[in-house]
Amino acid sequence: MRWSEEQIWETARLLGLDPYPTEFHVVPAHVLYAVAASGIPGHYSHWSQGKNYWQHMLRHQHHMGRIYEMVLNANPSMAFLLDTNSDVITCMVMAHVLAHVDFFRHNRAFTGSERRMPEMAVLRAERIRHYEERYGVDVVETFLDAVRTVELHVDAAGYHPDLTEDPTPDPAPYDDLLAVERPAPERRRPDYTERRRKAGLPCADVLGFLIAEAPLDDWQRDVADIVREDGLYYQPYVRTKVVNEGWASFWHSEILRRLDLTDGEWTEYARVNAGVVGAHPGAINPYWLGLQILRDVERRFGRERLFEVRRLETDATLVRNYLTRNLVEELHLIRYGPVEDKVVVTEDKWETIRDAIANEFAAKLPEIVVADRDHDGQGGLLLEHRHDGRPLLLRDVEKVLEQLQRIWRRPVHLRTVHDEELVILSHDGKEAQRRSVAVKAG
Amino acid sequence: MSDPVWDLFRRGQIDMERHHRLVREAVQKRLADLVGHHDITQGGRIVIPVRELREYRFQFDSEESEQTGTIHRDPREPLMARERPRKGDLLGYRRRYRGGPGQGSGDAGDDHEEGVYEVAIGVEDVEAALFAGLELPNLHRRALGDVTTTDYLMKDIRRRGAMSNLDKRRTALENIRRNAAAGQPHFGGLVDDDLRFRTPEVVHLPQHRVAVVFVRDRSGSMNDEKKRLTRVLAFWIRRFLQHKYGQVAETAFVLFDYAAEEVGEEHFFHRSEGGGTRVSTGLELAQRIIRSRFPAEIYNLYMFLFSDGDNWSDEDNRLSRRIAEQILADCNLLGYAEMDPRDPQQLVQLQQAARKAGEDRWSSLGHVLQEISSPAFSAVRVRGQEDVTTALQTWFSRRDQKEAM
Repeated sequence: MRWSEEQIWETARLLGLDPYPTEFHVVPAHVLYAVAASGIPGHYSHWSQGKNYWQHMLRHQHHMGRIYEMVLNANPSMAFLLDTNSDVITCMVMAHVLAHVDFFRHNRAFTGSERRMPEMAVLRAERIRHYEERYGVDVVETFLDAVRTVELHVDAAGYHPDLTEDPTPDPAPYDDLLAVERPAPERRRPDYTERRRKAGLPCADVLGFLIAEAPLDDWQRDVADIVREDGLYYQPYVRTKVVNEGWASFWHSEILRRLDLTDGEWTEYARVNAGVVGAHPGAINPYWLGLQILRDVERRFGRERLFEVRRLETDATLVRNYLTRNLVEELHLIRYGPVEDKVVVTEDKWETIRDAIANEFAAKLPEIVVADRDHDGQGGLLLEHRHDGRPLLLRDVEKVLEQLQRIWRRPVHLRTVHDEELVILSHDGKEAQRRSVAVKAG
Repeated sequence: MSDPVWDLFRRGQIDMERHHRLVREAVQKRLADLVGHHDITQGGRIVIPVRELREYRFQFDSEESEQTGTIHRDPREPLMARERPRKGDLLGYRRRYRGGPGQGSGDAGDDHEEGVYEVAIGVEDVEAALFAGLELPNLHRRALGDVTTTDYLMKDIRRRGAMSNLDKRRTALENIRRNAAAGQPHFGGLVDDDLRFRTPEVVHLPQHRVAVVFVRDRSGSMNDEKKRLTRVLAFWIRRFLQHKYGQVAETAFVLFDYAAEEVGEEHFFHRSEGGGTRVSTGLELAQRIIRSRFPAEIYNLYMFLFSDGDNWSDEDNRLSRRIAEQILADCNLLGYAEMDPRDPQQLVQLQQAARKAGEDRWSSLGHVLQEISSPAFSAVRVRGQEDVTTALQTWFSRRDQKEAM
């Protein structure tokens, strides 16, 4: 490459970035897409990752889009870069990655996140493989399919497994020959026998609640706990997509500006950059919105303020604090929605638009809580959707309930508001039901 | 540019294969429905939609929600004041809007299209799924050893032989093996000792032949649907026999109404006449054909009778049964298909009647034929496309006892 890794590091540090040490892996597409599909290298296998991988590879092969990099929140961090990128694009991607790693390290949302995720993921994948061997691939897969439906409905504060020493595992036949050093912390596994006390309701940690109170075998609790750990790991990503991508896009251009690019390289960089940070009509490209807001912050308050934003803001607070009237108008942001067979502008007041965007980012996913552990007198679980004006996709709700009742082994219900009516959806393992509840939604 | 060690990274491939296997399983579950499909048996391919596998999550119904977005492709280009959008401005029309005034939209969430894979299915795919569950009845063992043919098969491997018969793979293997024994596991330095030759061996193959006789009712009551189902069944029967015996079965086609005649294949599936039905005439002609052309010493014989069971008289039913019993002495399998396709308009009445009778309603012919005790006889009712698989499974299953259908 024309620029050394040190040169990019040096420039980044000079500009004030402070990332964790980062290992760059330049890899072929099939590796990058496999890692991107599972989110973490060494992650346990799942068909959904295979589907994701397959679709990305197809798109890549047909030149319908590519992933340039994949970076992990970890210390040391790991980043995977596509080996077919040109020098200038590799350089841009490295700069982008370093800014991400700086963000992971310093943003408040990532405080307390698992920085040894790659090692953990490998050990957890090994445990899942062990369960697959013992109980069958299909059995484990069916269970994973069920718990993954609520992977992101977890709450670090909602559920604290009591950690005790893992009992010494039975020696495997070749253990004496293959003495593998395991990191000590992973030997501490949650002690599920202690967790019979009941969680307070309502409980936002849906998966944590199921782990604690559903009739599960120990291996199932362990698998569910692995999925929950993934969910906790991904949560800050979800909450900081805009500010994080804006931050990384801001700095890759700052860093490249300080390198000696030829005209041809500038042109190539500008073309790729425009694709990454360009506006998506009808939607919000997080790279675009994040970059636009950060640029505006710099214009109005100076560069120092950017570092404060990087430390404190999530997407919701970034929008609430920094999306001004001028920006809303300059970026042509509107609210729109369906009215009968038409799509029309539903809002043109800038404050309302700002607040709507902030609320959407504050709750990217529907807020679901466990409301009752015996709703129907048959031990049925009641979930409640905290309605914020956005309706749920009911067809998918039914599919999720069907999966959840496999875990709960009794009917599972969800209460939500649909068409201004209070509705309860249920699944008892045989069929899904919807019924309106007489009481008007309050 | 990247480290070559990454070439060994197969993780994406492994996960992808898992996904594809699940898709294939979803397709497999639907193959049984396709066995009776006309286009398949015509050698064509049909494209079936298979729902995309996806993970379900609690998610918002974006189609029904308000959304936020930018309306301009290039935000740096200022909008004129009059272009600035106002509340109520029309942006476009909904693609999948189905509700109308006065129509509740309680199920609006169901209008979303799911991703669908289109999988092209050909006869090979259906065949693979179908034949996996079928067996020859294995009842009469022909005295196969009696008539044999002589053949030469390249079965033996020797160190000497004609160069044209050199077995390159085994030769290379021997070479590598010898080199490995000397501590150098690679290919190279061929010597005569490494050479291996395929060598012909004289084999005596038992000669057996397969014949199948199709007998069909051509009376006026055999409508187009019944003929179509007959054709589909005959297609799979021949295909399966060919698959099992490794040779194309010799065939004879008999049509009958009041009298019987042997016809060519092209007429067999299509022709129908008015008039009455005497099943015994068809069976008699079939018996004559078998005796003259398909002697039991040489032939594995299969015979299938397709009729709607609407026979002339009960006397003829009993006569038919006697002839069938005679044929069965020489037959591996005599399958009777009672063609009784459901008429959607009569369906409800028929179901009610059947429920009242407490059983499936066989015709009088069907009842009489079922008194046949030979395990080589097997009767099925074919009421629609979906029964084709069941019929084939009933006929072609390993059994020692006659199974009630």
